[in-house]
Amino acid sequence: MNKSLHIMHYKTVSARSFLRNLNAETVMKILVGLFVVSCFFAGSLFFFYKIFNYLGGLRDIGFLLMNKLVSLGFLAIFVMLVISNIVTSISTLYRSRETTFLLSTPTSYEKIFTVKFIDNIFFSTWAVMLLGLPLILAYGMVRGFVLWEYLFEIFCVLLPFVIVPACIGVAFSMLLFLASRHLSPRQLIITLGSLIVLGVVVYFKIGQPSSLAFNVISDWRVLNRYLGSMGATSFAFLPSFWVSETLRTIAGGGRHSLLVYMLALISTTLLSLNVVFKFAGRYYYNSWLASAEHHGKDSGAKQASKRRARFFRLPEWLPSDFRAVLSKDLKLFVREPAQWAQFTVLLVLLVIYLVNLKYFPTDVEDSYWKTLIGFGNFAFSGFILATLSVRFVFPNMSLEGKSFWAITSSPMRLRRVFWVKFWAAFSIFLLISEVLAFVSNLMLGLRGLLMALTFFSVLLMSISLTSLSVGLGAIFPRFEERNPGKIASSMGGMLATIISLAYVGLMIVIAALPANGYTLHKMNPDLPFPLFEVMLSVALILILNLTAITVPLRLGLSSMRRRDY
Amino acid sequence: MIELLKVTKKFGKKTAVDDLSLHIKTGEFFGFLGPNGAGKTTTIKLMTGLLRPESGTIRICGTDIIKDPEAAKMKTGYVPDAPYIYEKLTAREYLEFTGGLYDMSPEKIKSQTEWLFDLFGMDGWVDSRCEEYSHGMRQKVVFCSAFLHDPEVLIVDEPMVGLDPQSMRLVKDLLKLYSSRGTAIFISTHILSVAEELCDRIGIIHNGRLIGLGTLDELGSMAAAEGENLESLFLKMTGGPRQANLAAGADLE
Repeated sequence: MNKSLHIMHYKTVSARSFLRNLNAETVMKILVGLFVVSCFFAGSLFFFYKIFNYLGGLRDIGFLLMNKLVSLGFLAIFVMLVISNIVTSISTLYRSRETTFLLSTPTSYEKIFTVKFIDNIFFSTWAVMLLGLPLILAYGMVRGFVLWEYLFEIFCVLLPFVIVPACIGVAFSMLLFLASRHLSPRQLIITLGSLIVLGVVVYFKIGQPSSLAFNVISDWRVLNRYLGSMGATSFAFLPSFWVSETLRTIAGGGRHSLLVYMLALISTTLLSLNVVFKFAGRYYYNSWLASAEHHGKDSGAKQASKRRARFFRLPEWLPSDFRAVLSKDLKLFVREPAQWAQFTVLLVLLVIYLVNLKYFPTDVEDSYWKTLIGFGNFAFSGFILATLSVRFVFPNMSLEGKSFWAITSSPMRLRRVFWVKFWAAFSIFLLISEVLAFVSNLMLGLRGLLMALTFFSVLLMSISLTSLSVGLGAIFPRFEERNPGKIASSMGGMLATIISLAYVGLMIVIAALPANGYTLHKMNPDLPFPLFEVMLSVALILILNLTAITVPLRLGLSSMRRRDY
Repeated sequence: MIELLKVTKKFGKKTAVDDLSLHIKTGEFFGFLGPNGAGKTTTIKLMTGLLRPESGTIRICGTDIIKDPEAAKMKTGYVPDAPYIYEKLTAREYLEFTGGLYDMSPEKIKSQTEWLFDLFGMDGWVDSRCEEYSHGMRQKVVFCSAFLHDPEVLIVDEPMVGLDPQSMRLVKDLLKLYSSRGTAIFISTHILSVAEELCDRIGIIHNGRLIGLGTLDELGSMAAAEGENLESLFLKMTGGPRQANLAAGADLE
């Protein structure tokens, strides 16, 4: 048997053994997880369906706008998949004990790469598909697809589509590790930073993404002209565009174009696979060696070591046990490339978002649009905070791993460990989120009450999202897993993601309750101030946040207390 | 069997293995000793293709590990210091999996597996998942997988860690048995009595350099300390007495 298939076969044996030997608690966790994932899927489907249905009803422009939105959606998914593949590959192709084990056996590097590449696609793609699939299904429902058209889109279009970003992501990490042999970490970060800045500039020069929103706001006729001129600037060379075009051609007829786009997609996929496998055949092992050697590298001069020591020195007024755990967590974070690399990527995305806001018109006088922009910004901030908290706070307790005995056998109480995790994450979160709120409000020209409300809401969200991740991280720990990315994408992590997103969604819905009345009141002061809605909204926000703060922390702490170490 | 010719490995500015040359013959039992961080595990990783040297050549049964890694690994059995096991597989499934990686036929895997399980006294456990095993049991499974394909060369990093006295005795006897059957054995260990008891020749590495090589007697004459046991020799060669004196003079109050 081919060795790749042999390894895959035993991976399925392993998975079957896991499923056969589930205990009641694990079954319960899986069922809850599946339920929440299904709810998220159904929610996304409903959301996309509502939007497409609304757009489909607009005369002349509806379908055109719908196609542009699908194209933009798949472009976002494409970028997410590239980033997700880069980050996941660090732990699947490089920092994996299984890879090290396989490399010590007489298995060719190509075969090992094949197995780990498939792993990588699976781990980095499945969560993103919770957005991609509903997008296609909702589009099909509105445009009246029949069964084979759905199947065609999923298997002949979506499947090849996810492989291209996987190839790009994995090739990128191979190059990154190869470059790390010749560049110091600082040079590497500067090079990467420059590349990202260049990419962002090119993106804004070519794509002008925010002008879509601008035109929607300003004038339908301008929008028409804009959409007409977008042909040359819709990234027509990217697979995301081809996916949206296959959807459009299925819905609107034109089998010839469908064939062209499908062939473009499949041939690009095959070419990407061919290139990445040829490249891996020559360089995967070298890049793996570079990553392994990076671990053993002499960490440098005494001067640098002293600088680092100063960096990790925490204020004396903090209790010593608190300082010890916090300093250890900080050191582990900074010394784990999978952690800081992903954190940097998310921060860069944040900067891209903030820079993007610069292109928004700040002279919008209309209160309705002003409120809408404010809420949009609030929703995005919430989404970013939820992502950050699940990715970086949720795995924190699990990362204590097998060395947790060092803390539990010390005089430090478990409750304090819990609070260290909470306060450390909360302080960093609050800083990021308030900076995000301040800069974005400034860019969007939002001042006064709206800005104050955003500050307050973001403060609440920081506390609640941190509590959710700390609590759920303690309820669903994976002490045996050392890879934070895998911990965050475990069933517990998914649950935390979905609950956090649901929390953000509820916050927005509740905050929006008085928005309509308030806007009308602002436009026409004769109309009454919506006092009841404001009171209701405040009460609901208090209840929601009290629940989100106290329940997960209590359950998490009691779950940790019940556990053996 | 195992040849290392002028092998050097650097991590950044630090030289982990410095110009190391060794030749281990068929059936020879070689012990590799050194303090923590001396370069033992790096040497083993170089021999198993998990690291690549800056310069020098490593041959396993005449095959260059860099030029033809698969052929070299086919002749090698390797027990790492922290072995990876698929937790959800049973010991039997794990050995079937490993056998497949070494291109063994299912019949050969079956017969070897039965023999090894019997030898290690694992009969009652072979169909339980590895996650249920104690540390010693896991170590037995890893040894079984290293012996499974009858390797010509066996490389073992810290073989006795976590084993109970019975299992230690068993592993020692098995290693001796394989050595007497012609397998070249390379073990790295901190337990000097194990090296003293089992090894035909001993190499001592310190700061990446080989500072001693030979039989126990030869090492004794090298260190101008004939008749002393391995512990005294080792401490004398690696600067241990100074540390021991410091510890003896330390005021714990």
